Amino acid sequence: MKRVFYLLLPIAFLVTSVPWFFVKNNENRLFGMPDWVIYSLIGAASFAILMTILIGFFWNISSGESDDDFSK
Amino acid sequence: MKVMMILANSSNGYALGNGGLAFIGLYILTLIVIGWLGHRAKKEDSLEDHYLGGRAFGFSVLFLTLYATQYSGNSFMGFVGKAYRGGFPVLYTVVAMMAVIGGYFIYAPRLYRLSRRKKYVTLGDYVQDRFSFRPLTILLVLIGIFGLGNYVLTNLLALGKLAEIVSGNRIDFNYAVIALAVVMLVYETMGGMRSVAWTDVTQGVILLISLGFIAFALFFHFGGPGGVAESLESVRPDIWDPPSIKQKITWLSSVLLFFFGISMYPHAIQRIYAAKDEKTLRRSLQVMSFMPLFTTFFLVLLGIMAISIFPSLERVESDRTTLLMLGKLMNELPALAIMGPLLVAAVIAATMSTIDSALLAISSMVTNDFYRTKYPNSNSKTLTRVGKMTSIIVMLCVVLLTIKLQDKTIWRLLEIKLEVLAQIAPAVMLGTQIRKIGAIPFFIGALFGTILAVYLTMTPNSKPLGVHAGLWGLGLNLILVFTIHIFSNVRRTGSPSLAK
Repeated sequence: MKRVFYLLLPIAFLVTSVPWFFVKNNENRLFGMPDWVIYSLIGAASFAILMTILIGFFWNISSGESDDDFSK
Repeated sequence: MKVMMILANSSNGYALGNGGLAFIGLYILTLIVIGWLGHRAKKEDSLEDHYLGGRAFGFSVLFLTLYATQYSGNSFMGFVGKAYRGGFPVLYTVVAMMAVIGGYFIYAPRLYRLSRRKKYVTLGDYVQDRFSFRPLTILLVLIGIFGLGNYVLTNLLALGKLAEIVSGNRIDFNYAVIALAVVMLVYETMGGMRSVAWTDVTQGVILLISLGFIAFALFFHFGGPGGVAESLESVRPDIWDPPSIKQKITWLSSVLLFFFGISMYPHAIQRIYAAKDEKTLRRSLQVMSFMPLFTTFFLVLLGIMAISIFPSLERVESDRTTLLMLGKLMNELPALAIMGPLLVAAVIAATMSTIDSALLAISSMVTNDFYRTKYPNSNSKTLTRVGKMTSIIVMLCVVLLTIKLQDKTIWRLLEIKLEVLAQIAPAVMLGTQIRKIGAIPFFIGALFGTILAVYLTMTPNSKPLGVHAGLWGLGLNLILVFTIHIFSNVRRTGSPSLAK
């Protein structure tokens, strides 16, 4: 179950990185870009950090506890 | 005067002068020298050495070869043109390119360990070992070859067109395609994956330097998005609005298509096999996670900022936005004239590194998954020779097709890449994670998923409800995999729960 959670976490992050909750252009600007663009860029940066953590600390979870092969 | 030797004005935006063309020529010759060095470094005449560089790639080689391979000429030209036309919503490409690493995370850890122990060379090796069902291996390898073949064809076409444009039509499309194909063949057949990866290192470094230049130009010369915001708002007020709900669905669909499609590129899988050790692979993938922020983001921004500078480009012209912006920068910053040819070299490099890697992967699959299976007693030398011959034959076919089909509508069919490659994902991702599912569900899933993806892509509405054809195919693929798996367990054991 823990393994499924870590494997699906990137997909969940990708879903949330879409600016779903921004409906109207509200004139808010940061660095010359609208707020929904900043939101998706923060989402992208967060995803990169998430992947760095997952690859760094949860690599063995993805590779499976049992390392036996498929041979019959 | 010196600057004029490097540059020349062109209606297409930017063309190289004689000095610039000489620079590109020198760069291409350097690739052959690197190929020869790769040949000299060869340790043995084996498929493992030829197609995986002896599984000895350290961090810098592995990272740069992954980087140069993932970012093709399409990133430099296609993303920029798309951003020009679509504005800020095209920023989905930044997340999409990152999503690829999420795809690797699902299968690469286990696949890497298996590949070391069982000496896998290709994707087909894993599929055959995991499922022991030849039709599935053949189907997935054929999907891989079809996807990669299209990739090579479209990139070679782009390379020929680019050569025509940057030379100011002094170099003919056909000659450019043939000459560059010969160069790629020479260094690839000489040293195999080692030569390809080493040339990728050069190409990756050029890409990074060029992107540094683009970032400098965007933020210091043009003042960043803030510097052009006012004119952008007046020229294209539509690009400031958040995407509509359908656009958001397509946004997510594109991200997921990259997640399941690009991570299945057979040449990317071979790079996973080629890592020196697990630590090297992990570090490379970690750094790769951040690269879209320094690559795709700058390229998309380049396209968006071009709107305020060239406000009324037609669709065909917008595909040359990169070159138009380059021409403008070179006019305004003559002191940085050398960056012009370097950026052109970067686009050529990105395209060539993609073509050579895909070609090598096709050659390895034909040799390892078809020839070697038919003639299991062939020695390593024979197999390597067959691999090289395959590369030559495939490249010859690709060059002929590129020249023959350059203006034909069949290109619509050839654009199908990720849509079909995504159909490999269940067998690789679920196959490495869930050991109970057998070959038949994956075979039927991949077969019907591919048929649906190709069919929908060829219809006028290739994205029903805003979702890509490849994802519809993948959905059917997964439903079939789980349904057949559960159904076959019920028949065998009388209970789906016993499948556990």
